[in-house]
Amino acid sequence: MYQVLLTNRYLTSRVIPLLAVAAVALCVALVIVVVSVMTGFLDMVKSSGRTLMGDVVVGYPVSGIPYYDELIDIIESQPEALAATAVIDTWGILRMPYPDGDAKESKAVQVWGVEPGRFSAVTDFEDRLLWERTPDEVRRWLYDDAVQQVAPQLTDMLDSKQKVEIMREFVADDSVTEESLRLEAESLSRSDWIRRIETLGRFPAVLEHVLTGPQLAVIHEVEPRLLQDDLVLKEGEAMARDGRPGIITGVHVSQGNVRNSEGEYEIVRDGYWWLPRFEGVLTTIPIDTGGGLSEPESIILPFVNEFSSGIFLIDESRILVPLETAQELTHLDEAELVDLDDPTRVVGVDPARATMVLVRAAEGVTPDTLLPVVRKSYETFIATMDRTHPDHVSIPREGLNPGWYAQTWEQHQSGFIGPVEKERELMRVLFSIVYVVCAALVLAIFWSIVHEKTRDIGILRSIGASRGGIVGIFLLYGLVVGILGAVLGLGLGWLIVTNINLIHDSMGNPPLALGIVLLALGVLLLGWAMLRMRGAALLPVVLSVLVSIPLLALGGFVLWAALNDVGFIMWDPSVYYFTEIPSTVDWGSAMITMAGAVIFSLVGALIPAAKAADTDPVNALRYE
Amino acid sequence: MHFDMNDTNQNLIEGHDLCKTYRMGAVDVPVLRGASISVAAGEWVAILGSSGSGKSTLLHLLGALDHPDPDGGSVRFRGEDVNAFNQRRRNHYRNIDVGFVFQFYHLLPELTVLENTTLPGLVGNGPVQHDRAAELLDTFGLGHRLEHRPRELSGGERQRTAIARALVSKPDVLLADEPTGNLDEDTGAGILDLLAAEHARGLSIVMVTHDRSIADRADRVVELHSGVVVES
Repeated sequence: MYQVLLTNRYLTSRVIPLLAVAAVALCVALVIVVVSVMTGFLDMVKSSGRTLMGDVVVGYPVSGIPYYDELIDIIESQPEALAATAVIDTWGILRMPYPDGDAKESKAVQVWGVEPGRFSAVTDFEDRLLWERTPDEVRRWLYDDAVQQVAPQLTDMLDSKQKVEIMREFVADDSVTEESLRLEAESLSRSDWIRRIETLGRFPAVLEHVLTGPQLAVIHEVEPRLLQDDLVLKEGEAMARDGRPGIITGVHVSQGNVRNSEGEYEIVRDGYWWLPRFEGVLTTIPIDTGGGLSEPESIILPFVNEFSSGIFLIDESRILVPLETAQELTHLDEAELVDLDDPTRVVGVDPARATMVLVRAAEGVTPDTLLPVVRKSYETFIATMDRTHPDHVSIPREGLNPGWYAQTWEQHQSGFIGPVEKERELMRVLFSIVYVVCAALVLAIFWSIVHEKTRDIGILRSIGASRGGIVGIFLLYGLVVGILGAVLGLGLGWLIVTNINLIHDSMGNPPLALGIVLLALGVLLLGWAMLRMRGAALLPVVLSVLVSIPLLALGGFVLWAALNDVGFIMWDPSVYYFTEIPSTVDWGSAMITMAGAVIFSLVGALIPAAKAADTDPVNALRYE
Repeated sequence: MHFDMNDTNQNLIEGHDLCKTYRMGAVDVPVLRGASISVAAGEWVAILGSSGSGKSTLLHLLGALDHPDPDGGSVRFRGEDVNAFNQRRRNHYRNIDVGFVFQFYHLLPELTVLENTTLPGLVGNGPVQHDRAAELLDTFGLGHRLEHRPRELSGGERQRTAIARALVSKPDVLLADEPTGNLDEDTGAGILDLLAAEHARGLSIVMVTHDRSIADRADRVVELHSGVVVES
């Protein structure tokens, strides 16, 4: 095969094909990087969307589904379903603890009433709890809160020696005698002492030093989170504190959490506005059986923890409360039915309801497979209920009740998954134009190669090479350029994608050494060019000046940025809600991209190859 | 060689009434106006003509590198009509039946001397005749140059490589277009000696030249005047 011999020689003895390979490699790397990051982003959005949804949702908004426990039993008896849980989904107003003063802020929230353990089994919600332990900066505020509550009790427990020690803390002058401190301490009233203890609440170190074990135990009793670091997590999992139902809010519901440029949450005012310190007032407006509004229901609940789903829409508006609490707030709890003519006569029981049932698929079962199973279970549920329960309770069903739905999580969350998916497809289409650029580059480069090789083509034709054989040379050439470019591009793309966070970090925080090295290289190159200026050849001078200028500019910029601590942050975690840029290569897309690059290289080579084959041998031989 | 050494009267290659007109802009320039030539097997014929007389064109037609005008005569090789050849037969004709030598050598610059010489075998999908190529090159005094690139060779060495390439497929006829045209006199004489030696071994040669003294090395000289062949 002379094509192999010639392709090999053409590739290794010329610079032009290397340019073609580099062009293809850059195109491939570009597409791989963009699509990988977009796909990773979409996957992150999707997986976080699924985290608080389970796989399949059955729901009937507002009025809810009665006897949902039976429905859950039926669904859970299916091998395709791992777990199911009831949820109340409603809207409410949450009165926040801030700002200081009486005019507190209120916020409209989406209230989800959930069964803590079961909800976690379906959604892995426990993994999303923000506070696994009490943050260090919050401890002194917790201490202060507790001391304020028990200050009178502590005051009564102080002995005179402790009082003198406390007095010393309030006196700046070290030379004051013990005796005068003792006299001053005795002169203070009980309320003076309470105030002093309250003041000391801000200074846990002083109290810990002065107070005895039993006295500290009083503080720890009202604030056990001071002793048990992980209590905040346990309370979050149980959704309760001291036997009281609690609220878990999305991390952006509270204005007290601010996301910094590292993507971590900071608590406003040095830990002061840590939401689990406070209580909130939740108000909902229940809907009555006729569809009208009832009197608003309010309840004071302690904040027990916060969660971060990764989706801003959810994190800024959703709060979780125990299911029973939500049922009470929405009047969907179990109620006695009374005779309208004689309200003292109980005629039956209206069962508790849930507006949604979330179902998690068993291992290896897709949501799309699970959905029909859940629908079938619901039919079984209707049939069972119609048979076993009195007919005054109707079960909502498809067709009869238009609000009823059964959806996979993706259908349910399509509102915000859809746009990201569309964005990725848009990116894919836009960057597919890069393929055309790639083909155009190969076309241009091959055109010039064929031009250069016209005489060779004439020679080959004169010794009997067929047109097909000539086409073969250039197609093989295109194939090799395409494959080499695609493989190099994959390598380059892989390097960029897997190190994208490192690259991004060094853009945000440019290393000083890099700036110095770049500058030094630029200066050396420019100096060399200056020395060569008097020589005969212009090309090396032009090339080195052209290379040294960007080196100097880049080096200078990096140096400036490093010295002034200025960086360029593209992926701002406070915007994207993910701390890391997705950094795994989307191998499927990468393979398609590589195949595309090879095909387009072949297409780019085909046209000049056909032109080459059509060249009249006599004309080709005359070509100089 | 393929032909019968004793049957020297059989015409190996013939051109009949060959006409070829080139179009230069709006003007038709007739180059050949019914040129006829016949070359017997084992014969060395020189076509003598001044610059632009159409002698290269005549050679290209004989070698099927070019087509005569429609109704512009025919080329016959061993009695076969070359113009009627299909593409495959035409390629085979250029590859096996004839060998071409050009004034400007026309070697592929990226290939070594040996690779250039074996190229017809590679192109024709035949056996790669490394041994024959090396033997030919050795005979032509290029045994020490096998792995060199054409740019490392002198003009005479390049032309000898080109002749070796033309002969490697053992063609019936060598078509040489001003083979010494780009060489100094001594080197040119060396090339002609080489052709004479191959001719002595039975090779048929059609050689185009503008130089009478070179043409005289041939068995027979024909002249090309105004696009017509005249026996001289």
